[in-house]
Amino acid sequence: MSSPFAIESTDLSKRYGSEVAVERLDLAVRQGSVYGFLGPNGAGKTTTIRMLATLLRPSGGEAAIDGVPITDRDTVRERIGYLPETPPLYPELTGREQLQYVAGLRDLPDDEATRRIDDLLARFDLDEDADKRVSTYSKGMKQKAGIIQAILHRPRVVFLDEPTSGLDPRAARTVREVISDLAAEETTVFLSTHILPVVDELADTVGVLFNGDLVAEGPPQKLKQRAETGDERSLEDVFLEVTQEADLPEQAAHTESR
Amino acid sequence: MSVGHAVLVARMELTHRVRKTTDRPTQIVALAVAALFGAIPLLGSIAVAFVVGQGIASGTITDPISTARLAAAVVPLFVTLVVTLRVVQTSGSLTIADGLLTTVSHREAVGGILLSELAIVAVLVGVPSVGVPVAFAVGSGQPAAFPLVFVALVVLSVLGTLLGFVVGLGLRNLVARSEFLARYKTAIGILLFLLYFVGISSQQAGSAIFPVVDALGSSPLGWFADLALFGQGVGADPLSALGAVVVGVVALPVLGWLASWLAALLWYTSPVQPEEEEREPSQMGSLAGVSRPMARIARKSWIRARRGPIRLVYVVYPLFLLFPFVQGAVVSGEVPTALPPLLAFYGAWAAGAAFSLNPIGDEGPVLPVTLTTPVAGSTFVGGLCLAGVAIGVPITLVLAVVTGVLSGLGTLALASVALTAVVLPVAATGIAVGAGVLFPRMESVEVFRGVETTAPSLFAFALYSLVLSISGVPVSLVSTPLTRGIVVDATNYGESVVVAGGLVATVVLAGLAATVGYVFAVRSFDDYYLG
Repeated sequence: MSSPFAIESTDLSKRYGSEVAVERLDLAVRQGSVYGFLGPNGAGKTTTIRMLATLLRPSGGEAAIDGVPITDRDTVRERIGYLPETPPLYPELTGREQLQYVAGLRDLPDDEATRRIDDLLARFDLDEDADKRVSTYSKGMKQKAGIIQAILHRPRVVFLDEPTSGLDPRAARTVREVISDLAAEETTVFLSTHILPVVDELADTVGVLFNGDLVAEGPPQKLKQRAETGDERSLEDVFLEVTQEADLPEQAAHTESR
Repeated sequence: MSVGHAVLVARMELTHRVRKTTDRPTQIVALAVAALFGAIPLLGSIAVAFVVGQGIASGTITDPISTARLAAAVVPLFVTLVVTLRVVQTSGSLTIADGLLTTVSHREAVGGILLSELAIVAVLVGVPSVGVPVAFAVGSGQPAAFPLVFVALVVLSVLGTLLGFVVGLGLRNLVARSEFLARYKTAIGILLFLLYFVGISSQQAGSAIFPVVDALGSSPLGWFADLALFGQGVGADPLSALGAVVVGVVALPVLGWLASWLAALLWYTSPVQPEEEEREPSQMGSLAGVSRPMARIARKSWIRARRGPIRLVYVVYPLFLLFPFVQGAVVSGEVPTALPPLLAFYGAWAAGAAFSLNPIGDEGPVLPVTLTTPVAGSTFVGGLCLAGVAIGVPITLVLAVVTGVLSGLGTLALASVALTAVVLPVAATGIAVGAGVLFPRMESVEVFRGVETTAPSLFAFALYSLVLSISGVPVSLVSTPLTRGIVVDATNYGESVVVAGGLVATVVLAGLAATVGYVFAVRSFDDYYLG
């Protein structure tokens, strides 16, 4: 029986020497949902994604993707797609060649790969530039090619690190639509971004990571509801509040120690 | 224009360049070696000045002016060449152009860059600029000679710097505006470098340069010799000496203005982008008998190499070691018997070094994607090895066999060389991936003046070259008549046995090393984490 959770982690941790990047993180992301992963710079978001995407070896804890432990890297890799913060492209290849290359690494049949690549290129308005070299692409075009490459093989789980970064409003909307479509097709999207309206619009659940700890988690509507008064506030207010609150005990401890 | 701003820009440029250089130990070593070799002619010029001074004083040198005019041409020519190269490669661009050009005027920026270049030229020619006049004054016994020779040298150096700046910026402007030059600038640069290298190696450079120096010595530049030797009683023309002063007074500001104008043209222009669109929709395609992922990895390596050949410039460097053999063959009309095995060895080395010597680092920003695909280590490493083998084996075989036939190698030795040319490149790729994974390099380095790429690490180069060389020793020994004869005499076996033995020994050694390297690389890739 398959797990109801596309992403699960228990006590997932990453340390670099004495530096704690991620501390005993527990996650449970439902199949086919969009999980908005928020946090200030250096909170540990990218480290978490890299551990879940089998790129970083955790220092402790465990995690599973689509029910498969992340230690089974080969199986996990078949089920995931990943867009890092910097679009991972070879500047010497054309956009089409890059996508064909990744399709080849994933052993997609040629005709299926060609059909899928053409569809996605058209959808992202990149078809006319597909046979130009990546070195000539703008930041937004690179980002589009990076997203296409991450979802080319219809993965079960997609990790998107700042997918709308550098995109013009039209392209950003396309990305949002694609994320919605992916969720509708039961693909789980793990979305890390600083653009809070994107998360507000798309995410079923939001998690806020701060100094390696998950300091808040829940559906956006619930998080935005003020517990005491029932007033609604923006996701930005929530973000600022929980990251400040999380910082207070540390500040207090620091003050006491002085 | 604020001189203070220009000085500040110069100081920051120098600080940036010095730190960039000193951050890399290999560059410090390279600079130290260059300084060692460069010191010889510079210090030699001081000794020559002393001897010339003595010669003039004793009357043994009867016509010093014509020789001094040639020297007056050499100084700015040397400085111009150095500065032109530097401007074309690096210093023609501002380090933080957008920030600087929105903060100070372009004249102040040009002034800063010029001052920093002058500082670098001063380091290059500072010692002889003082040493030569002192040595000449001491040699000739006329202390009054010092200031004139010194001023002449300094003005010639500054003129050379400005001229180099103008020529370099002119060339940069041409490249920025010509699609043809922009597209083929790397190829043109390599061609010019090879021409220079051939000229130097064939000792023809002197006969090519002398007419230029002679012509420049007869130009107004030669007047600086009259200025330097004015009042020495050696026939210096007062009018020419005055002309030198006028040239200095007029040329320096004119060249400075030209440099500023050309810099503005360059810095405020969007350079043409060579049309990079491929002629037809590109297809990665497949390779017969090879799995799709492996074929794509090999094809990706070829496409990257074809479109960015400068990435592989390090593969060409060892060819220079073969140059004396090739030159000897061309001059004498006979191919030396040492050349075929050397070519077989070089071909094998290049086949391994080109695509397999930095498997992890060469992925660059794409590494996270490669690692999150289900591609197995054996497929990834195999694809890289295939890229080197498929190109390296045929080329190496043809080169080795053709030169082997031309050199008159016997049938046995020819067969041995041919087999080596097939076996060794295959083994080389296995050895290379092992060395490359053991010593990966993730950061980019300068492979050619001003061109940065993720080249293999020096340790990977050293280990790979060492293991491949050791593997190739047995077959090399039995492939040339001289060493084969020594082995035959030492072992008392027949020639055919010795050749076969050498070949088998190399195959076994290289095969073992390649297997170890390949397996290590495959396992390392399968177990690889980013951190």
